[in-house]
Amino acid sequence: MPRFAQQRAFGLVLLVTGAVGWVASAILVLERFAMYKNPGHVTSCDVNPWVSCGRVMGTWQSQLFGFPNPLIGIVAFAIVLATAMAVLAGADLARWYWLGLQAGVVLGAVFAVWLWSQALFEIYVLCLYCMVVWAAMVPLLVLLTVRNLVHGVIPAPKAVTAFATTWAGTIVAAIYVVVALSVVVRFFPAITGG
Amino acid sequence: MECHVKDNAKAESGLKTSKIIVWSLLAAVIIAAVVAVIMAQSGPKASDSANAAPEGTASQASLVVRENSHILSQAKDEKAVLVEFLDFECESCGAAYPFVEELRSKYGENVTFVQRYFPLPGHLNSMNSAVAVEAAAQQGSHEAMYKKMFETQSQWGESADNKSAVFRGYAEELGLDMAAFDRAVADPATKARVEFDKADGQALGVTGTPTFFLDGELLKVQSLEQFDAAVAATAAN
Repeated sequence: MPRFAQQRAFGLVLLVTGAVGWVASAILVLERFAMYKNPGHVTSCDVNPWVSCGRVMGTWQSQLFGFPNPLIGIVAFAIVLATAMAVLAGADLARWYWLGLQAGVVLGAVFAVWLWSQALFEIYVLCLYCMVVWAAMVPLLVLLTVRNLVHGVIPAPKAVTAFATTWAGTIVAAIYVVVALSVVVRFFPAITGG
Repeated sequence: MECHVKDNAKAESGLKTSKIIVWSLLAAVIIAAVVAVIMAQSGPKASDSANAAPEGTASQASLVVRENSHILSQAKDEKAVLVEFLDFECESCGAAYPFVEELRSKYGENVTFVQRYFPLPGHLNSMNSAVAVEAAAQQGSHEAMYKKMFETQSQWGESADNKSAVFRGYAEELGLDMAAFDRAVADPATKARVEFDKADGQALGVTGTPTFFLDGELLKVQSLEQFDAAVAATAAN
């Protein structure tokens, strides 16, 4: 069994990704409140015309369900954090719990991918803390999936599980590189001051 | 048993090699991206230093604003002139547009805003949109068409089709004299007028858009706050 899939280590994986995602979501919620109070508020993440939470917050994509997206983040990442604490405390969670967590994280990842595509191809503005959330979602999704494969929560052929186990870290790194590259390519003129 | 152990070792070393290859590829991609960014950044800098040569500065001021350059808004009490070289299809220009409008409402009393064309070759409708704005400008509707282009950019930008018909629709919406508009769009002189601006930009070392000149000097800012502060400083002079 890979180290990260062991009880304690996996609890730490959940703790770190959950905490990073939760803090980024919380900052976005606070910035959103500040903008409600004062529409001219300059957020802490308004770096330049291309990296600006404030400008992203003005779009319909930033409140897909009629309320600011990061509110989902502070609720959902809190569940991840609570699970982390339970796991670290030695809880032996039922299979259905892990399946539920998997389903939630997959939905969250789908949402993050959609937000990534919107930021890059529709809005053409980056939001720093949103990117922190993407960064937390990648290892959370990959490592949770592999953990669930290893523990038999998700049934899969042995070869698939073995492959996923060996390459888990590499998959996370590869996704990071691809996402970073997509940002660099898309915002090349902005980054190089063109 | 021994044989089995050997196989395992073999498989493990094979795995190690493929892991090393994948990680090296990832590292190579990162290095390539970093090198590309650094090279692109040092590129324009080289031309900046060329502009800094005495001869370059002497002719620079006259190139930034010409007699025929389009004035978006003339300051009543002019203390500075902000010139933007832009491409109506460039998304960064579209992103900068609301900010420029904000600056215009904030500092319009003391800062004159000038817009110059700089259609880039990467987009299909860069020239078409510039020509449409120029055709509208000939009827005194430069500002209205300029605003229209940026407000609708997301609807026609990045398209692989010629959007001249859409731009003609905007002209109609603005209530322009359509016979004159069509004549202007068809007239090669209109395109030449756009290219005239672009040639000045190129002579000034403009390579991308939007590029701003504040009082004849290339504006180098890292953030909106710095931009705002730079304009505020000249406006208060």
